[in-house]
Amino acid sequence: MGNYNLKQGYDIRLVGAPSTTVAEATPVEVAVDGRDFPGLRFKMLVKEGDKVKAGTPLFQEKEHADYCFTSPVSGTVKEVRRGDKRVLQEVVISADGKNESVEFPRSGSGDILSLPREKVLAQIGRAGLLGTLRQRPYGLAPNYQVVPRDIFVTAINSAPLAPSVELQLKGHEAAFQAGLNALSRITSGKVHLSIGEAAASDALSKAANVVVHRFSGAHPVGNPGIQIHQIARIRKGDTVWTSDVSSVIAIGRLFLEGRVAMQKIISLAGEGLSEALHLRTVPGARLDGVLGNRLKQGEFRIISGDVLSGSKREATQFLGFNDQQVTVIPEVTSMEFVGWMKPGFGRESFSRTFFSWLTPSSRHSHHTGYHGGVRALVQTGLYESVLPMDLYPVHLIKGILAQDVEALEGLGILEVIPEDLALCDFVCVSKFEASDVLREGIEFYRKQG
Amino acid sequence: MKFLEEMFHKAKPMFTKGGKFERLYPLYEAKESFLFVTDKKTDRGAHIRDSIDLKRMMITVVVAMLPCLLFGMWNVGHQAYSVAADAINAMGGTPEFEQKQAYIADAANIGKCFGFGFLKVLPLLIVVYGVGGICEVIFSVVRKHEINEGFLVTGLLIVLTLPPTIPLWLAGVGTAFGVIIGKEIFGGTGMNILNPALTARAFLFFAYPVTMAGDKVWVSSPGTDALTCATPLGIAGANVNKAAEGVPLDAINYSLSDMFIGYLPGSIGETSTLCCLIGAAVLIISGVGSWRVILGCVTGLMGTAWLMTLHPLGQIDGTVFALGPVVHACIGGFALGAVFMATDPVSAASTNTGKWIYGILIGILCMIIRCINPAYPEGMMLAILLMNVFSPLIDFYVVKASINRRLARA
Repeated sequence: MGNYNLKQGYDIRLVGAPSTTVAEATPVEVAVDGRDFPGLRFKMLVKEGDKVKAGTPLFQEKEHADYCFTSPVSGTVKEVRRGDKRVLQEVVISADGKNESVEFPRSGSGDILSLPREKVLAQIGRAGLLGTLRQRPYGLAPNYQVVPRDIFVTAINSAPLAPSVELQLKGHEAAFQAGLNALSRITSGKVHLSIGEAAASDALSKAANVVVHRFSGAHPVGNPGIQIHQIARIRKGDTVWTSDVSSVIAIGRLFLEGRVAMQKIISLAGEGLSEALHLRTVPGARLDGVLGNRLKQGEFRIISGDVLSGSKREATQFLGFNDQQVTVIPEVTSMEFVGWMKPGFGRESFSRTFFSWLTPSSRHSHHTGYHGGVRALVQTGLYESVLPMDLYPVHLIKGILAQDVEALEGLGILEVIPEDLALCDFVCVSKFEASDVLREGIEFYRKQG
Repeated sequence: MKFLEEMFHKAKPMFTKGGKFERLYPLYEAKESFLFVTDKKTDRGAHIRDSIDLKRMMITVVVAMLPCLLFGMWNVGHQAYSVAADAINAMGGTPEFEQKQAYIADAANIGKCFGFGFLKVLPLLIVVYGVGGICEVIFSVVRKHEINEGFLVTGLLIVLTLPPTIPLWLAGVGTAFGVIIGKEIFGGTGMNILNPALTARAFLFFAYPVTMAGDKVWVSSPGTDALTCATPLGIAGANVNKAAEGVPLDAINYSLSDMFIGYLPGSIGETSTLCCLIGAAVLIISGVGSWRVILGCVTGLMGTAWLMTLHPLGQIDGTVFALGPVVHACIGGFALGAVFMATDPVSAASTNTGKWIYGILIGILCMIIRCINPAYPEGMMLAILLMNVFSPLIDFYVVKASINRRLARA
């Protein structure tokens, strides 16, 4: 048990926060996208026209038959899309709405603790739930052969307009504990559960077989990378896995109910929606089904994930496998006349150079504009004030740009992934994309290593 | 404004690649970004961005400097009339005496003082911004980078550090030197090592010492001849030698409140510690200036000033050693330098620990030059320039310490 009070960070006061209403979105079409599992190579197991159930393997990791990626719903394989060099992109499934699942062995929550590691791992892997975890360093899909040093579960959603952890957990407390029990079997170390300072649910604060850590602070406090850095840092040679509430619940239900139930609660939020709320859906659901008729008229950007680290999608595309929110914000459409000289009561800024700082509780509209020209990087110290780590982001970025492989480990490249630096992109006065440079840097470093 | 916006959209193809005026794109960009906030969409990294940009940051610094500028304008006039009045040694009833009385009355007239100073400072502002702006445009066109907003601040800072009597051509030469040698040859704003405004001042200081200042500073004159006037720092510095020779010391005829509010002769913007503090408040509240650097400078200077009072010369009232921490913080260019020059994010140390070290060392060096160096009464300019050079080294060791901590865990 530890208490961590993080001083650095910033909660963007974005309009369009989701209400606590939880609506159902029955998916019509779902896709499992190989690109959501970076670092792996796949072998296809189905072809177009095949009937599948929830939990039927669609493709597997090339070397391990027990490491599968399965259908989240029952239905028919509609299409297998491939990209350059026949790299697997999406397997699209038409849902039949019957919600049938492949059967798996059931275990009581306590019984999981006496199952051997291989058995637990194989069941999670065959059910297609290993892909709901992430591996550090580099933020890849887990490597089946590695025994993770620790597993870090974040029960804090700090990103702008993120879903409520309480709503995600409600009704699944037992499954959550069972999931934690299962995770505790597959690591050689501990399962660390990070909860918010105000987390009231006993399922969180009194969770068993884990080490509970309480965090307070602003975004990125909910990012696993920040929590790992505070709890037990990644050293060279270490591999740890990370997980979130939805993933743990799905794993718990797999053991308790003996079926694959990937349903999770996401937030559907942002200025571009007529109604912002929570929604129960499955990973990979087609976005127009998720959005329903809530999309406003006009030019909007649909983002799978949050506004800082999510990815831009069309309504005909799909929800990212591990994304837990869909955000819709207006695209920038016109130039603002002498905007840089106005007092700026309605313009949000991390700095207090706009008078919006006088109303700290007000929420602000943000479009997709840069709000200024791209300039040479001026080291204002802003990056450090939104990154609660003993790490110098500007120097890491410079090391990446200089391709200084020897220096990168010392500068901390093993401890961060792009989402951890996304707030740096936001606050930068020079309009520099630190998170994108980090993404390239991680690829470069992996190739060298 | 729709009309203007459309005009810009229509003109843009002429300035982009393949257009007739492709080479002049930085000029177009500068105009467009001056009038409008860009409508460019984010396509990598975070989808939304903070409202702040470099222009907003720089304009905030300019706003923070305005009290210094306005007070400086008034003070130029006030000092001119006061010193001119002091210079007339006349008996009652003579025309000279009438003139002296008139100057004394003028020195008390706020509007007249400000008007006098405004007319002295405005040409300087025009020349400095004009010359600097032309240098920026030429370099941005040749080097194909955007025109940098940093000059908004640099230009005003140069004016604040100049004596009001400086010939306009010299201000232009200094500005060109500061912008080109201090900044552009390194690649422009963000890449420079030295603070460009201080580079300009240092160039003028060493190349044209008589025009800038000796032990005394120049004060504008309402008559034809420029007059000089001793500053508290000049007097206190000279008193060190006088104490050694055993001659009587000169008195420093300024009260602490004069020094704090800024009723002193000196460069246009440097005299008022009060106005610098207002500027510091703006910078710190807005988050643009680093409070660590400012506080570091103050700590370093005041600590060293206290140590200097323990020196044998510190026991003799009137020497620069004996002035003590508070007076040292209020006189000379310290406040202006600590608030507006040392905090320049490009030339300062960038790490938080580094900022403390950088600030404290500036304060210490400033005091060492003030007290122990026989040649210059003021040390702030040289202290900052010296630490500008060292700031990458400070950062290097701060980051190195973080790296070592990380590798030690492995």
